[in-house]
Amino acid sequence: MDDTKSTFSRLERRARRVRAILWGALFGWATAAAVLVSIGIHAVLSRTIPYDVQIAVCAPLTLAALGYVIGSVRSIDVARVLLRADVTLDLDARLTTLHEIGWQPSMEPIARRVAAGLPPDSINVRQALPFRLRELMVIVTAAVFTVAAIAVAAIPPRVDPAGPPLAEEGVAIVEGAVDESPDPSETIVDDSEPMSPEVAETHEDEDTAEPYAFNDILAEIRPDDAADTSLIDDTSAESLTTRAKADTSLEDVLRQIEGRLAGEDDLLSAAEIAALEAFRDAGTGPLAETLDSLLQTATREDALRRISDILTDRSLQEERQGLRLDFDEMTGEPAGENETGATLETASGTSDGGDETPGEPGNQGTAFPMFDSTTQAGGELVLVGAALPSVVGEEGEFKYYLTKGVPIEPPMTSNEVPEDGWSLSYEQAESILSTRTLPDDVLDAVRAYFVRITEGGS
Amino acid sequence: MITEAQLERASNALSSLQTAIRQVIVGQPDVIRAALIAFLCRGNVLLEGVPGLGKTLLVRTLASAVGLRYSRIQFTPDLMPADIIGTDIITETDGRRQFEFSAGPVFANVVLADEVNRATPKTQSALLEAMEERTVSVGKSTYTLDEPYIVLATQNPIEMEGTYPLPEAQLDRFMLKATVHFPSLDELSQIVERTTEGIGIQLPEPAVTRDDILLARDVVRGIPIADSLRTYVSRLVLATHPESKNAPDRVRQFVEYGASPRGAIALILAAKAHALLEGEAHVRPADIENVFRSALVHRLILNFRGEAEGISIPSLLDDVWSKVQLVQ
Repeated sequence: MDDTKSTFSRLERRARRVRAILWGALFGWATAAAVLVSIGIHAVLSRTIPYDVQIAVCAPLTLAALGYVIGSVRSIDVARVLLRADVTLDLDARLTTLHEIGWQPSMEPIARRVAAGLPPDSINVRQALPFRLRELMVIVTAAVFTVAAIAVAAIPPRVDPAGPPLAEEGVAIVEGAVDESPDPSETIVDDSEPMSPEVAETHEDEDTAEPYAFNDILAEIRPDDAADTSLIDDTSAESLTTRAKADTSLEDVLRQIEGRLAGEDDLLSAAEIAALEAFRDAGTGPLAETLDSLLQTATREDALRRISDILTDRSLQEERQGLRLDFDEMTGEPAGENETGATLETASGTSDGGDETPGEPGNQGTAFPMFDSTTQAGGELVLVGAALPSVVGEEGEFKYYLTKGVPIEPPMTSNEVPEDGWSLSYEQAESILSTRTLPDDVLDAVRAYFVRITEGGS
Repeated sequence: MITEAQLERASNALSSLQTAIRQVIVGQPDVIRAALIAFLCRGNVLLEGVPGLGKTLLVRTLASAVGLRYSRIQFTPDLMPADIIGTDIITETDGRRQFEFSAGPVFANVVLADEVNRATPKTQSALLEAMEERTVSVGKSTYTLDEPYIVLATQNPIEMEGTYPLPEAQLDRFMLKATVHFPSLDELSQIVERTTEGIGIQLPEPAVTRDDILLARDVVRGIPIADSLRTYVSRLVLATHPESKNAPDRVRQFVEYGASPRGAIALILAAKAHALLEGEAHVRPADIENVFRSALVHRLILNFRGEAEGISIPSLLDDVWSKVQLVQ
């Protein structure tokens, strides 16, 4: 009887092992299939394989091991195992019967006669419980799937030869915005300047290549002819919001500044100072003096008071409303004494006030990047893809430069704005971003941008 | 509890009984086995075959080999129940008249109900109590039949004119149904030789005693069957039902009613008896296979379509056997 018990134990261990291997294979198969499907979906939708999916390739192996452990530990129906061994070895259900009656003393005579019919040699458990065909098929299939998942995930991600990896690019942008910004002449593409063949080729490569995923976004939300736009690295939420909300008249700018200062305990920002300087340079007489005094203010309260004075001064009303920014002309050339490169003029043209301003239509200049004018036509301040001035303020030297990648203010080649515009809802942006691989800080900045747009009603 | 000695004694007795029967009966191993199995399991057998194949001889031989009382009832359309079970008759003893029960031919150990389908259903039903409860009720009295007891009924598959097919309730009370086939050439030669040479056929002397048979009955019930085999039998029986999910397609098409639980009981008991007859101490899958058809063939009822298309019930059982596997 001890031999019989030993046989039962060996058969049970064998059955557990077979089941463990089978479960491990099933777990691994299912997980590998899921990983492959995930990789396939990402490859189709975004043409890239995210790192987390690549890491998920470890899951089939992990779950296969888990399945093996579960298959080994979980209880097993010994009677069924013995019946299968009986059938395989043609033992006439002796093992099954012995398993049921072997422990009852009253059945001992029968048990002895049943056991006498067992083969004299020890039962070969591998012959008794071999892998069945369907089990072998599962194991082989699982192995194939797992190897395929690993092989697919091992394919290196597509790296753009034109630019550094995305993370490094993001770091470079942030650092450059503070104090290591490259020379604007090196980073800004000036369409008006002739380029050497080598430079032209380089820029052409940059236009056709994908520095990083922002250009994909732009390609989806902009007309084709605007896809090669230059981008501005100033991605702070304040600036972005300001640009989004900007209007081009001096009165609107002042009200915007007044609203901001009323809500924040802060001074004029560099962008606001630059804008006011541009208006001051374009303005005449009392308005220019008033704006100059505003720029000289050292406290928030003083600034608010001076803004209020300008807005309430009836004598300045006409000029206040007429002085506007113009984005229509995209010459890309800094203009005259205007350091910002923006071309300023009054809404009524040069006839207003009799003084010719540096911002006449047709004059080349740079636009201040703070304000977006996607719906205004002629007679406004022009933003060009040219160098932007350094602005000296309390924050220290603050430089703007243009570079590719931020989906705002594309250089325009004509005075016409596309009918559908470049507006992008938060949901659209979120949908697009979800299909891109972007650093978290960039994602957060973009999200904040659209959140602020939504809150501001723009 | 079965001892080694009891097991040995039962095996030897059954071996002797089979030898004694085969000295008289030529061939028909399945029929002989079915009769012995039913005898060991307190069951009854329905023998089906054309006349002249030795059915009556088999029953007489069995009764003679076990040394038990044998009776034969020829069923006819005018046979009455009292003709089978007996009746109260008036007797006069010492000048006093009184009713006295006169036992019918059913009071025996081995009863041959020859051409049972020729009697009316009323008379056929008279056998039901004797076959199932082993008792006979007459008037207000109930009489217990002597054990071992077995009814072997025969019916002729041809000459169906003027016959009364056994109702399903009565069919279900037969543990097994055996078909008596026409003998082969060698068997027929042997039969002719035995009956025409010398003194003809001699019934055998008792090879076993009544106690041997009763002991063998106890041993049969003690034969173990593995739980997985018991489940297997249940699955087989369920698969004969057209509404079962494991039923073969032909069963679903042609069967009106499948085997009853009594069929499953009969199958397991028959398998145990078969194992003992084979000298084994436990039920094997082969034992179940050997008695599967004879235990269930008379328990399936064809539907109209099955009857119209002349579907063979044994072929349906073959489908069931093929479909239901021991190891799932």
